Amino acid sequence: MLCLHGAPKRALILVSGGLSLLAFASLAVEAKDPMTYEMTLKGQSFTPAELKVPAGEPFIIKLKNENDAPAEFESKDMKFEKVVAGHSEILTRVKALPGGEFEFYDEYHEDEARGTVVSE
Amino acid sequence: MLAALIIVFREVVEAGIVVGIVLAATRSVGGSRLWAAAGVVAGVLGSCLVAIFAGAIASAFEGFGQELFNASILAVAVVMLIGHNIWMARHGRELAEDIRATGEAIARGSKSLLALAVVVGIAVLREGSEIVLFLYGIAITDGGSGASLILGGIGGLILGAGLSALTYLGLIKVPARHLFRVTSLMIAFLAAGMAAQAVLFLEQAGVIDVLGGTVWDSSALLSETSIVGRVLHTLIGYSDQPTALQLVTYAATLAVIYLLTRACSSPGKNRAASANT
Repeated sequence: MLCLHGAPKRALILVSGGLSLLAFASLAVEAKDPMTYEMTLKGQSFTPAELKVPAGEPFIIKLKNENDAPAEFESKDMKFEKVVAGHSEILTRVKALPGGEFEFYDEYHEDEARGTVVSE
Repeated sequence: MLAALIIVFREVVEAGIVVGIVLAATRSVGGSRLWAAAGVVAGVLGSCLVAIFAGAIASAFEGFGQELFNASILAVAVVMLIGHNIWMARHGRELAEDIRATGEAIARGSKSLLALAVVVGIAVLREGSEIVLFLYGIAITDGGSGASLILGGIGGLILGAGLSALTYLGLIKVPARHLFRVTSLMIAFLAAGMAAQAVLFLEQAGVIDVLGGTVWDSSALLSETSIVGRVLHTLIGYSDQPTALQLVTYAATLAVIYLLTRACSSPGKNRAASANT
């Protein structure tokens, strides 16, 4: 920005520098790869429709969409929302969950295409 | 049909509000509507492109391309919004004082208008690609029943445009003297919310792995995915399960905007006007 002089400019540089460092540092210390669970969506059903995961550990869901139509893999409970094009697959990172059941679904067919993650 | 309407409306809430705010913020800058319209058109075209390449984007960066793409375009929007507020801090007073030299204001405003057109484009693009994919999915699978679903989709789009109009009409009720202060404040919160959202995408992509703990869970009280939740999410960045890093980013963005608009406002009596964020 043209209007930056003196202290604010320095502050901005410091802040952005700090943020980039933070990003780098976190890349470097990234934890070991979490467990990946595979899942497929065909028609209006997920397989497996019930996924068991250990509580307290982050994990990854690898979803393969075998339909022609795209889907939106979403879960309010687990906080993800990802578009999956037809005949393609995506990865979704899920944070460590407490024990319990967590629903997911294809947002485009929210009533029919549903499944559950059971964390125990 | 109703389901399609709701899905599409849910997606356009954010873009609708952003367009309304942008139009109000640039109300007295000549040509602002044209720029906003250009932003919408670019956003729609961009949505189609993103939809076409959805598979490629998703599989980029080891399967986390979608998150990184979202984080990047949000970051661009945040920078543009901050730029706009700085511009407002410098020129808002002249604009508010009924524009002594309209021509001059237009010339000076074009850079800011470009920034806001980019913001509009990004707001449309973000959710637009999902709508395009949704409608495309209907078109190729549902055949006959597709028509009513597409009607529903169009209904959702019209509702979204209505929300834009409502936001705009509500904002221009604010007296001109205060309008810039109000819109600058709203844009500051819009930017902070987007920055926090960008950070969430980076966390989901596994790029950032610090301060990732959830600070609170208010999803039972007000779900972020409900319509009201979405409106608040757009306006002030409401999240029902924010991580610590998101909160830090949110506060830092507000602080940066405040400091920059102060530093950039014209000296002297304009100080008071610049302290609006």
